Amino acid sequence: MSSVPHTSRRRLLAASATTLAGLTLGRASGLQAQPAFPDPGRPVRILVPYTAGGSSDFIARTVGNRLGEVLGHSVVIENRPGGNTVIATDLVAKAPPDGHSLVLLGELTYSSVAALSKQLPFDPTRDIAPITNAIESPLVIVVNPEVPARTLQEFVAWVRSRPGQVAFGSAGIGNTLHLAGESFSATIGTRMNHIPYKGASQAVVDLVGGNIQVMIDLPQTPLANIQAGKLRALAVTSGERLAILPDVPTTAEAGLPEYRFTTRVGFATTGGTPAPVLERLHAAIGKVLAMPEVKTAFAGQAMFVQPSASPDDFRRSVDSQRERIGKLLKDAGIQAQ
Amino acid sequence: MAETLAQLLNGFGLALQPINLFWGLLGVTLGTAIGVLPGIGPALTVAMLLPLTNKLDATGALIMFAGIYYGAMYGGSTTTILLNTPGESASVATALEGYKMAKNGRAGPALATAAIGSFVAGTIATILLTMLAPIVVEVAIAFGPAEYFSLMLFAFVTVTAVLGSSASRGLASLFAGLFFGLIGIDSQTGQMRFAVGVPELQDGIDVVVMAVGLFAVGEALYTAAYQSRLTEQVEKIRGSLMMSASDWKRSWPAWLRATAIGFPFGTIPAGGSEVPTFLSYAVEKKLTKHPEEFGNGAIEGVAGPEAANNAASAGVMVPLLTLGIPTSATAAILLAAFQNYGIQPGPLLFVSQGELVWTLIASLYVGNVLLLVLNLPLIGLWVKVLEIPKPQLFAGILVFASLGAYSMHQSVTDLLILTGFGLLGFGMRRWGFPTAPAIIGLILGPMAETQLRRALAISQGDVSVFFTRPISLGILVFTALLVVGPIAHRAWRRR
Repeated sequence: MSSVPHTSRRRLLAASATTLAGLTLGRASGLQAQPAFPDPGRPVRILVPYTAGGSSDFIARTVGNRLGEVLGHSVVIENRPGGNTVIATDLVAKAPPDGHSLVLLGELTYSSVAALSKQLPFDPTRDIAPITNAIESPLVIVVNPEVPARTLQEFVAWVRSRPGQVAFGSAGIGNTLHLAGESFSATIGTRMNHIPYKGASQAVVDLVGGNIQVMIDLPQTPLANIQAGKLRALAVTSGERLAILPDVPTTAEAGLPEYRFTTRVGFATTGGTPAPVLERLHAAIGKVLAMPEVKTAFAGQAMFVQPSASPDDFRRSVDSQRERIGKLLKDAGIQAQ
Repeated sequence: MAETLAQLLNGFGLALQPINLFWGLLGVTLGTAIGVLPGIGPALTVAMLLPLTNKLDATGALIMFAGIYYGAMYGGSTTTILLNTPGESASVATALEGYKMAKNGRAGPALATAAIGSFVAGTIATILLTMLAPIVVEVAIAFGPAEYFSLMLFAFVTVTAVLGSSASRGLASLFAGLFFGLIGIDSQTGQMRFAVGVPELQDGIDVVVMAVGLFAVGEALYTAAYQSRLTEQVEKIRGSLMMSASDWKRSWPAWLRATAIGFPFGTIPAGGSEVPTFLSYAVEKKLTKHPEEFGNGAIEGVAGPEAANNAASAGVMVPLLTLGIPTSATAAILLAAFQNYGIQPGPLLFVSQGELVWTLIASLYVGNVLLLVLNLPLIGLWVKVLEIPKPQLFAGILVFASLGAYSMHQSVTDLLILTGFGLLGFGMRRWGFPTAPAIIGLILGPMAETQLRRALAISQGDVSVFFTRPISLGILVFTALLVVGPIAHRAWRRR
């Protein structure tokens, strides 16, 4: 650039500054001796922060198997459950920043972990680089059939008439289901009694048994029991109805448009990974998500493919969610431990 | 009923086709292998094989997966008996007498009673599943937190039978276990307890790591330290490889009683498979005509827990098939496999997918038979492990135990915990503290605590829930009778 004639001094300076900055940046992130991504000597790992068999595992395996084909490189999936996703995320946070270690990142869980842990072993802004969102899934407000409310509005009135008494089940403190319930309480201005379980399945059993009255759950877990009439679905928390529950109205249709709640799960890698690698991963995962069979597989689980426009786009979304959830938990009086 | 039978026969017709038998055999072989190898559980294996469902028809795949499930359950008992290293928490109770039997040169009968007991219990439990699933589930659903807490109280009272000869040492061990059970995140408030800032400790101490540490590592250290002074020897083989007539006579009532304990526990969604194995152990210890053998290798103490384990794993199918709710990791994967075929287990499954369900149930029967066919001849091979000279054998056990503990969560922290419990186990052995109560404390403590606090959270602090709900009250009254009964009986006799 500097060889271009008639360049003003100013532009020349700016240009060399850019080059310099590029060099420094390049050195810092190992760009100079940058081996091609992916490195033929190492597989790309996708860490799943939950045990095999759950919905996160399903997302990782559905995308992971085809990501290998798209990248022309081997992709392995590792289940590293525990510590409420902290263990898997920390492994990726501390991996070399070269895009070979990915982790599944649920916006809500990531936000509540960041808000609720006093001593997180990594910095949630600096050490993790979001790549792209993958799926978005609505939840369904489901009650035990003995609850006298037939519609969402009746249910809201019923909860308001017994503040703090209606028991809602969740899959644990700070879990998506817990956040959905607290957010519902905040929307209708009346507290409910939170009962945490170890996993949504156990909570659904207690909901069918009438030990608790309501859950705001991902549709797949209670689905069979809704269809059999052992549970009553009052509304889905997204903007559109679900194909698997065509008779269940959206919250807007049921008269509570203020309450919308969806959960988003995407992919992230180590913070400091060079932008070209992030973009390569973003494009490759985007390609997988665009495959018709992938869309169908997800739709069968009431998950909808929702890729981010760019890594930055996903980062902004994660950041704003963190702010929102932090406030929600603070207002609900749930403190960091 | 006639219709049920016809459907079941039809299911057998499908399950017994050569190609499906092949998948079944492949499943039990794989299952046995992963049960024996440390660290790879059935859940992970099936998860890795799930993509196969695109290429395989539903019947073949489900038969294979069921084979893996049962095979792994059984394979776990092999390492437990031979090497004192239970691969999953449901095998811990088997280690108590099983390893002692192996040390006495009776590994053959121990493995045989485990295999045949698993077969008997698995078959009976599958029959119960066939006939009773839709009825049983109504009872299972009635179990809420209050009932579970009462049940845990009952288990505490019953299982104290394994405390051993010295009550004070047994209680010390039990309370140590209860303490270790407190470590981790408090599920009701999110509060961290004794985790000292280690994220791996958030989820608490794994029962398997603790059991392998206390049993296998502790034993290996003890043997290494006191080898010159030890009189007991690991005997290779004494007597026949197969069970003697007296072994049979002592085993079969234990199998039946264990099935009666294990199956109902498996069907209740938060029952788990550890508690029934220990309950079965306690019952056998109480009823045996050879109390002197308990602690030194009593065959009932192997027959019972192993059968209870298998009956419970068949019971787990009840909530899975009738409610569509998986109550174990493996059941969750089986559910995913069902869904890959567009089958939604749940209250409508028996109506909408009758043929497939009956094929699955038939394949559970077939899987049990195949498992027996595969494993009985292998016993002769397995016991050869004990011919390894002692230093190499115990070194091998240490490697095996570490491998197992590490690969469960690929965590170095677990290795440190394993070593810690190994040292503790060594000390407990050295000073005569029984190790089993500590494990029971770790299993029962957190379950009882969670259910108690959950019940109180739902009732908003009202303690009367435990007495006003009929099932809970029934269990509590029964438990009280168990405690007061013998005392009253003695007092009455003294009069």
